[in-house]
Amino acid sequence: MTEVSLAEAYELLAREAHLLDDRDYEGWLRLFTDDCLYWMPVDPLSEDGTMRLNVIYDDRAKMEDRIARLTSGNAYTEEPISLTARTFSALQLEPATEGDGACLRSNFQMVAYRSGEQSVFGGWYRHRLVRQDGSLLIAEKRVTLLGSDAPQPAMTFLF
Amino acid sequence: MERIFMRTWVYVGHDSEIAQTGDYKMTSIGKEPVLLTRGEDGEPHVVINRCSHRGAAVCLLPKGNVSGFRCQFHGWTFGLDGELAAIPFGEEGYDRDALSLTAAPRVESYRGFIFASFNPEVVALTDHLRDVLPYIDSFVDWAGGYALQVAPDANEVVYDANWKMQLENNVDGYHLSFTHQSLFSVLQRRTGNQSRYLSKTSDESMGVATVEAFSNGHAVMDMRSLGNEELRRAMKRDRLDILPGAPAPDADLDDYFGIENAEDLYLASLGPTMNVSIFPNLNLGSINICEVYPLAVNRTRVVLRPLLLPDAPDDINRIRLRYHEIGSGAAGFVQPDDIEMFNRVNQGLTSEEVEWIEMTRGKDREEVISDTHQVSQISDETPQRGQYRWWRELMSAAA
Repeated sequence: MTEVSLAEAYELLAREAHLLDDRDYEGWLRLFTDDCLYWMPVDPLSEDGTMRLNVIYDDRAKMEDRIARLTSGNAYTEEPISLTARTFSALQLEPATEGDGACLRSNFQMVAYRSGEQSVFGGWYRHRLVRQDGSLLIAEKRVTLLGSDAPQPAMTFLF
Repeated sequence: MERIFMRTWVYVGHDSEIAQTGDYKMTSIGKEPVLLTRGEDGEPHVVINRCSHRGAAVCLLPKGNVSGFRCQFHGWTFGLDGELAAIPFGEEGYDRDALSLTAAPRVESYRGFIFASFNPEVVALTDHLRDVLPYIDSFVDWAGGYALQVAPDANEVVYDANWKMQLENNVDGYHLSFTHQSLFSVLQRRTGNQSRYLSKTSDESMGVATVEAFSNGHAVMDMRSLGNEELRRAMKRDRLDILPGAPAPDADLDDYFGIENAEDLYLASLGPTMNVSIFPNLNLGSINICEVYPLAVNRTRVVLRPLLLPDAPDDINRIRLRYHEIGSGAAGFVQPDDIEMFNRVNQGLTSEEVEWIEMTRGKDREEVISDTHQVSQISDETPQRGQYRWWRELMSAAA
């Protein structure tokens, strides 16, 4: 298994949070492996999104599509843009149950602000981390959003 | 909500959502919170989720399988058809017959689509749907005769505007190139072909897309004949081949899916490229059943459920899920841009100085087949005029 220290995992998550809040999407993509998965299930208890419906289910190519759309000027829910600030806590590392690497579980809270309105999103992340050529990368990021199976407003920004 | 949702037929669910006796789905008809159930008699029932005793909701979870409903306040129990089963500590003094859960007097279905009405005098469902029956048939039969099953999960959104915005939008061919420009940019970016299609599909010597308004506020946007067969296949392949986990563009699809003529079923993952709006709360489009719930004059909940093919290979259903996800839901590449436009319309309509909106596009060129049936070009507002004509009729009918 990939040896990862909690300090190293914390550093990666903090970097990811700042890249997303700074809307540095290219930088964010560089944190992921080529065969990565970024997903948010509809059912918070879903263990495998393959044969279930998801809110987000992106391979790397679709993550690039998502970013291209988001930065095109024609993704109108982000015109004007949302400002986001996210925090995370309760980090716990364990060996990945499926696939290589280490699993990092954390809780998150994100405040999004757009056009005078503030929204709060919360839930937990699960990152599967692998080491490639010495760099620690994200092979899978699962976002479990509280209320993902309930009606949500448009969420074009990234989690 | 009274004049429309309590007077006409309202879509409440698909047969596959309540396949077994005891299956139920929590939903609503206008402001009425209701339960759609499969009764002991094998028939669908629609009852108000309100205990006949002190009014508590008897069911809290959105779906499930139960033998009946028990109010947890004082323990009253009811059957799947709402009939009172038992009152704890004695039933003396009660008028038992009057204490069942209130049931919708009319529940009828067509090709698996279940509708209910609180108006006992409403016309037969098949009369109400008369003009759109062939389109419902086409939607149901599109996937090579495979049985349809609603996916167990749904993508749900809310927006801050009127429910009719979503109904209009499903048959609005005019907005596609503008509201959804970013989707077409993605397709162009990935396949390099989108611009080529746009020039070819505007060539009227090939097939064209149409919109139609029908009786009772129903409407259709039909792109099934757009371009020609070869072009349609190429456009569909491009849309599917970019999905996560899709077969490579040069893959042998029969091998990949393990069935013969797999390309037809693969391409059917986009649905019939025809959108049907059934007044007042059901949109069919792509492979989705879209339920529209008015919450207030300026707040609407939308539920999108993809249709799967339980007898088809898993890989086909996986593709259908991925296709649904790319457009639908709060983080899709299509739906957020629509609801943003609905919200903007709602902002604009706060103006009291300007009273009217403009919805005349195509009025001079549409083909008028009858008072209740008009056909026109895809970018015309013929369907919306039909929807609002019927809306006005219901709103101005005597109570």
